[in-house]
Amino acid sequence: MAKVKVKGSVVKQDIAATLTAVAQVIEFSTSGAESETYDATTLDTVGAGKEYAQTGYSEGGSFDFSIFLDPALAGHQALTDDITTPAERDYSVTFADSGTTAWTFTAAGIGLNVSGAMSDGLKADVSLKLDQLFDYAT
Amino acid sequence: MKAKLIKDTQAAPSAGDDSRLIEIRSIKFWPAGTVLEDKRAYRLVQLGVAEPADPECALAAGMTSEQMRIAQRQQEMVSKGIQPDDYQRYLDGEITGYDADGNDIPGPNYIEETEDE
Repeated sequence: MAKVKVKGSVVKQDIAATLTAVAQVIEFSTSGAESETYDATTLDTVGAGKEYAQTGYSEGGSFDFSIFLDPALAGHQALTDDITTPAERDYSVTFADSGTTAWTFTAAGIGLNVSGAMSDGLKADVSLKLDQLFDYAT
Repeated sequence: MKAKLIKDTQAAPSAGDDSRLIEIRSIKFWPAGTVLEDKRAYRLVQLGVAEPADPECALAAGMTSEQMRIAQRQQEMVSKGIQPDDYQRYLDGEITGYDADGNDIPGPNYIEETEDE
């Protein structure tokens, strides 16, 4: 059991069948991963509580990360390449635990929002929509 | 176009079961020296992961030897998870990375932090 620091974690992107580290990542998060359920409540459900059951599918959700954007940097250009020429890509996030656990996944699509403010550096928020699920460690 | 990997490099799942892959602790790697043929191979050169293995790749990458050397050094930092704020300390040899607790791993030029009395 350990409390794992985020410092030293690495986000990697698929370029020419290699997983190559993305530079200048500030933060990352996942959201929306869940096992899918449906409302299984019927008129004769006993009690007030609604019933839910599993559909047998799971939603992979999305993987989001923020970077200090360098528009001239090849790795960041590789991200915008996928806006101009959409393609499924593999990604991974390697955690800074003692076993350097990695979750690999395939992104079906990418979203990229750039922000600039007087009081901050040039930043971009990248959102990756998962195709299927993370390759969670088990 | 073709690029030759400079170091052992983690393979993406898209690499499939290529016979050149090696597996270490369930992770697949392309061995250093592997020549990859891909329309985006020039990006590997620009990212400091590979060097051009044909004229088409060299032209697409559009980098001098010095620019490639700098890119390789930067990729080394990024792949070790060095924080942007620590890039200069890494380049100066003060740190070589972080341990599992997030503490600095001292480099040859490490400067011990002193506590104020």
